[in-house]
Amino acid sequence: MITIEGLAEADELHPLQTAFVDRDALQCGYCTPGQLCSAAGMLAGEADHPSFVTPDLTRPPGRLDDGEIRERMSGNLCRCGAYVNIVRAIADVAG
Amino acid sequence: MATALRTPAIGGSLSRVDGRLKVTGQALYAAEHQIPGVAHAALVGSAIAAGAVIGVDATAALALPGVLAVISYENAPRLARVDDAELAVLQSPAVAYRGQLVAAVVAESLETAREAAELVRIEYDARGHDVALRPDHPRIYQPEKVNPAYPADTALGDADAALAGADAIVVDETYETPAVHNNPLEPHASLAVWTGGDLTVYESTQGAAGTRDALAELFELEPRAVRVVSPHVGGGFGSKGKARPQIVVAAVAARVVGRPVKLALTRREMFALTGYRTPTIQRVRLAADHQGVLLAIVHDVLEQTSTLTEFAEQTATATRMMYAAPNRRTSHRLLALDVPTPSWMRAPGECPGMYALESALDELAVACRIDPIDLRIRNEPEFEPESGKEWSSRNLVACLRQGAARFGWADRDPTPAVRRDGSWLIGTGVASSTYPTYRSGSRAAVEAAVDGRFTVSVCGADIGTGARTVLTQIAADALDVPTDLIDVELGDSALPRGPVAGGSMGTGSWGGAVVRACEALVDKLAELRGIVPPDGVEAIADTAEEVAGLPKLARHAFGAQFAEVRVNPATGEVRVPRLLGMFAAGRIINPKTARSQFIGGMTMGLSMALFEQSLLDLEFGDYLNHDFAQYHVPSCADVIDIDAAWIDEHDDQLNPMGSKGIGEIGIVGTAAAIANAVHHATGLRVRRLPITPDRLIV
Amino acid sequence: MKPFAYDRPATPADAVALVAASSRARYLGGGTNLVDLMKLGVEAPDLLVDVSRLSQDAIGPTPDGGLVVGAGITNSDLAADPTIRTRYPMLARAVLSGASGQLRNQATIAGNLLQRTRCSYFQDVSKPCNRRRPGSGCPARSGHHRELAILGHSSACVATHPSDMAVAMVALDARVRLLGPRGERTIPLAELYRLPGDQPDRETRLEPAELITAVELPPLAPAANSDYRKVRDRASFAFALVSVAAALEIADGHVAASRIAFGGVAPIPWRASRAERALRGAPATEESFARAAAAELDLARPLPENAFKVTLAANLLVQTLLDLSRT
Repeated sequence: MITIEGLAEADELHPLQTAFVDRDALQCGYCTPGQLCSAAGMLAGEADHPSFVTPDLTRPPGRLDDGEIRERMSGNLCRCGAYVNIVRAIADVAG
Repeated sequence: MATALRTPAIGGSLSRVDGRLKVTGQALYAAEHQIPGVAHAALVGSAIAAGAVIGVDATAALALPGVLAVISYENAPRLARVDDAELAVLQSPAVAYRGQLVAAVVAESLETAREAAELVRIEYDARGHDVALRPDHPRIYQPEKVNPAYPADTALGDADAALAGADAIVVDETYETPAVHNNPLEPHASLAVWTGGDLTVYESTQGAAGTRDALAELFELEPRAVRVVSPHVGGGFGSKGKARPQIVVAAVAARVVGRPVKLALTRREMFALTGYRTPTIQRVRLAADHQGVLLAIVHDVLEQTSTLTEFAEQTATATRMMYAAPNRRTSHRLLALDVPTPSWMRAPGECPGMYALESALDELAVACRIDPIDLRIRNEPEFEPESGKEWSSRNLVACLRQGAARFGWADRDPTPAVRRDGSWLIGTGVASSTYPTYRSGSRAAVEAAVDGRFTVSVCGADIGTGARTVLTQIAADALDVPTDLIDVELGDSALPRGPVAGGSMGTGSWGGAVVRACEALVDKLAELRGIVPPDGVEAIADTAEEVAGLPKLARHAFGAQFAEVRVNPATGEVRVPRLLGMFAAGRIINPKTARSQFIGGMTMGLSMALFEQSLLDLEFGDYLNHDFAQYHVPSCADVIDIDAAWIDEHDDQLNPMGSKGIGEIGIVGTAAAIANAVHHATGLRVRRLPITPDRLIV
Repeated sequence: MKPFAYDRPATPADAVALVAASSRARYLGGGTNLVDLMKLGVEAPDLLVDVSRLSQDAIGPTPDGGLVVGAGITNSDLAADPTIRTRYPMLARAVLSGASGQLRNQATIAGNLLQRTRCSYFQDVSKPCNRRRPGSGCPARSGHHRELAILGHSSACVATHPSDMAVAMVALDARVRLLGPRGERTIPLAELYRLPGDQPDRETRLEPAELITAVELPPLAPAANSDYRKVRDRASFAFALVSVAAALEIADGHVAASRIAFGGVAPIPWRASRAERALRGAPATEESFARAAAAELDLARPLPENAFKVTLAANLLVQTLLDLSRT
């Protein structure tokens, strides 16, 4: 199990953590650990599986576009409304 | 007052200075502070909506191992009387609403406290409750003033005559907004520690100083004997703008058990105890000539408060200043019900009021066959309509025009329900935004240390706004040093007093004081010929006089919001593929964090348009859908493309930075833009928020 | 929450024995619903018997060409399974439409089938609810019921069953394998669920201590294509207002076979048998689909706040069938 405290390697931030700061993908910060852990889990191989918005379920997306990221990140609510930047930050790392 | 700052930092997109703390889980929120020996509290809320507690049987609860105390009005320490009756917790057997605190349990563990809370037996004497807001209620009254101190009613000219004019095009519609709850993700939480007679509370608050004062008053202590510490706040949106009942419970409980006590509200408790936006019923009447020039505006508002204490939201105040019209009338009426007390929620007043006004404007544009942007431009006032004051700056028209260009409004066919993409109808809508530019006097201190660093301190709060970051930039420029030499301390009542993080006035108020403190420090350093003594050197400023002496001008931020929607008429589903906000808010101190503030507000506006409603249960008198599974806020999938931009606005009549507040304007007008777009897509005019599928399936 | 004991037996039989020995024991799968209900005081078991690690997580073929799915498999793993995605797309889509990724990673399919209604009143122990406290009354009828049932409800209860997955499984004629103190049995999933009638507290036909060990999915005609559509208050992470699981097999422009079930409209996953009958042999046209929808929804008895569901369910079914008929 990896929590937010374990995402960074020593002093070096995980690329998602860096992207969240760069893209201002947080405001109050309270949901941020959850957003980051979900994003990290999502990027660790989840593109091999379809999501609800994948048009053809027999063809996993392989690469997560913004629509796939949004659907897969929908389990983490953000009340400050940082979603736009959260998706940008994750897309930066997803490549 | 136009101070010519050299500003290499202001205007730059400095990343959040507390970003690293927040992405590594190191930022401590109230309940996360570790204090040895802490005990835990759990609450018992009233099971009735009106009446009184006549008996508290704590036997079973106290018998549970680990329970330290059960506190109710029968045994609670007496508190001093304060204005805010919500804070007189456990002082009386009276019950004003369902869920009001009737007892608290303190135990060794949270689990035990919660289990014991279920075992406390409360006997009630219930009387029939009255919780329905309805326009024909006999007890509707006119409040003396509306939040914070506006007159309840205003009238200019003869609106009725204008509305009755033979040639007038008239819109006369009623719009309804539901109760909605702020619902910051971090619950209201308090960790109270008594040391001798002194009280320290780790708290989630937008205003540590005001909270400290409230506690001092309640416990009859000198303010300096109370300290409220709140370095990071997991959102508030107004609900943490003042002390809430849980901080009083924590402090009382800590005193009773002689140990530190921690209390975080549950999401369900937040629906009763932490305020919410009042539901409104708003009748808007507009009369215009055939060119769309307004002849009259009438805006009559009905809203609710509790029987415990009055909160009167200023729903129609934006209508007093938005558009020119020779005849105008606004009114606010209130009904005190057996319901939880409403309070501030992001842009109280402007947010629900502008939904109604800007929807009515759209209806008028349709009736007059005039483009809704043109209609607004034709009614642009030269001076602030009711006061006659000059504008410090007003760039609504620029926002409308530049926003229209960016959004691609030019070729819009106004005909409703004719654009289709498969099963989906497509429409676009526009609405104006506005929010007053308040500024409060503030104190601030800045200290130079021998290591070349500077520490800025002010009792402000960064509730996610980026205050810590923009104050870093402001101080850097005022001191003419790089931002990485600045440390900013906020969120502690021991710091120089600043106003609440509310009313979009934090940056202007705290920042203004920081600039003055920095100027004073620069002077001191000059006297010292630039040599910082070993103990450092500090300067303190207080802008109370400066702010009181500001010329009487109409100071407001403006904006224009554009929405594109897709509506599936068979299923009632609404999607918002695009939202654009174009704002005029003075100097933008940090484009990166400012954009987050705007789009955050717009996201909450989208939420207001489509999702949010707190459902009052008439039989039981409480808000029924009291969790995030039932109370819907947007998920990530609902927010597709929200963008914010701004015009370059120079206004030297505000504060040393030339900035207007931006925390609230983003939510103003969004819901109207979306509702107007839904009409454009479908031909259906939904005058009751939120626009859920059931309201579009006919 | 009240203190409780926790046990993790090694075999399904041991699990059944543990639960059978206690009147207030509950099986624990992923815990995504049960633990919430314990926090709310709706459930107060004295023993949790963890069945999430009984190795019931395989998906394999059945002799008749169907599949058998272990009860402990997670929702995520079920939806990700290539055979499920290829042969039962409506099931995969239904599962993916439910809850969130995190919850699907944790929730088991048996737990999904047995999750409880999200009716506001059921989840609030400070209020009456016949389902939770028999005989206490149903405030939803005169209170808020926009999300609640239009079909199959009774004067005692208007709750809806919240599962998406179960809707697709009911449409697929899935069967559930049960293990109880008196041995094994297999029953149609549709028969697992009870309509509330005057005993809404009896939600299933499970015998005391019976454990779901697997779900059998009969083969779906190769020619059938299927989908799951869900309308909810927001785009993701919400329960259905109305959902439809539908499979359609068309030959020569006529409906050869169909499978239809609705979610969000009834206290159970609602198999639309009347609609299926109305479709049999009918031309695959919008008119036929609308007639089929009407045949089913004639049964609807909406309440004031949820009358929209009748239209919504009909519209959604017609749109889904039209789209399936065009693929």
